[in-house]
Amino acid sequence: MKKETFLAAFFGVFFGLVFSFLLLANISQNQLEQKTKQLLPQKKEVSIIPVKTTSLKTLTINTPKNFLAAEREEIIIEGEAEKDALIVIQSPIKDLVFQNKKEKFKVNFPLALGENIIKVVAYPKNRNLKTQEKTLYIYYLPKEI
Amino acid sequence: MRKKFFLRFITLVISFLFLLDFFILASEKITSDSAKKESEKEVEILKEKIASKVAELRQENKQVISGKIVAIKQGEIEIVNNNNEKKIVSIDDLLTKYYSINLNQKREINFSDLKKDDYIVVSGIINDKGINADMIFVDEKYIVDFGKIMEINKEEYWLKVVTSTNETISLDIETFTKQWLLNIKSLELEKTGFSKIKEGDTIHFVVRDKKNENNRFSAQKIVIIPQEYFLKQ
Repeated sequence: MKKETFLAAFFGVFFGLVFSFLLLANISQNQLEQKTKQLLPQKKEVSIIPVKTTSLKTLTINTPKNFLAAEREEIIIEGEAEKDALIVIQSPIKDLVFQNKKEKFKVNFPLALGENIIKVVAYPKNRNLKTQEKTLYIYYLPKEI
Repeated sequence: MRKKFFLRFITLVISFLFLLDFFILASEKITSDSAKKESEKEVEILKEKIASKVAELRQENKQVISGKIVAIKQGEIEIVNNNNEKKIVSIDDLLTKYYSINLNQKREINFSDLKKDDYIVVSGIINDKGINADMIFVDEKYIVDFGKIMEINKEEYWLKVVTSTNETISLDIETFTKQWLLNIKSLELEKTGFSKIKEGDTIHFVVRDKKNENNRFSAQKIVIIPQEYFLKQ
């Protein structure tokens, strides 16, 4: 065999081996990447959905002040509560039930001579919210006594 | 002729000055009178302001406490208020007045009419121990509360109620008990009867703070909110 023929065969085999090795390496690299992709969690676009929070408007009585010594047989009860809440105002001489159409309410309320225990209860329309209550001690002691 | 004219002129000038003087004096008098009236008016307004401020301060100092009598001593009464605190009611033999309240009417009574366990309302000036009493009213003590009906006894006409503070109260529905039911559509209160009350309904009630012979409270009045009101929400 001639020397040139031997060299050509040698280089042919050598480059063939190198080419096939590179080809195999590339294929295995691709397969590994695909497997890794499958194993890793898929990235998803994060969507932010606004959550509706339910905050309760606290029942407050602005007037009268507790333990008031009133000189008239009627007072004005002014307060604030959850909109659409059912308000019950009860004393030994009067019962009042109404729906709180706005947040603020204002009602005339009669007094009996002496001590008047007035219970104000607000039932929010949303029943998941807690019932609230306030107790007023108002004293009707007219001047002329 | 000239001299005569001069004399007339001088007389006229003097008369004019004389009249002018009167006019000035009168005008000064009017001014001083109106100034005096003005200052008198100001003094009057000031007096009124002081008087109303004094009344306001008196009213501010006038306070009221209430509680059950636990002891009656010479010159003072010991009471326990709604927060279970002891307060001393100091009495003035000459100034303190006593009244009894019944059915929204007052009747004058004496110190000797007061007794242990009476519920009294006292108005006067607050001090560090309690109050210096101007007026003492023997009043009726009520409980005003609400809760859920847990049990109904149809034979003896009583209700077992659990209040918002988890207290269990038994209420006797008497013949005199005023019974109201909330109309859930119109939100008006309507007269009702015992048979319409259901377990689970919400009840607002007023009772006298004294148990009856059945060891229950006699309801003065009740307001029922049917459970359906809350279900329709």
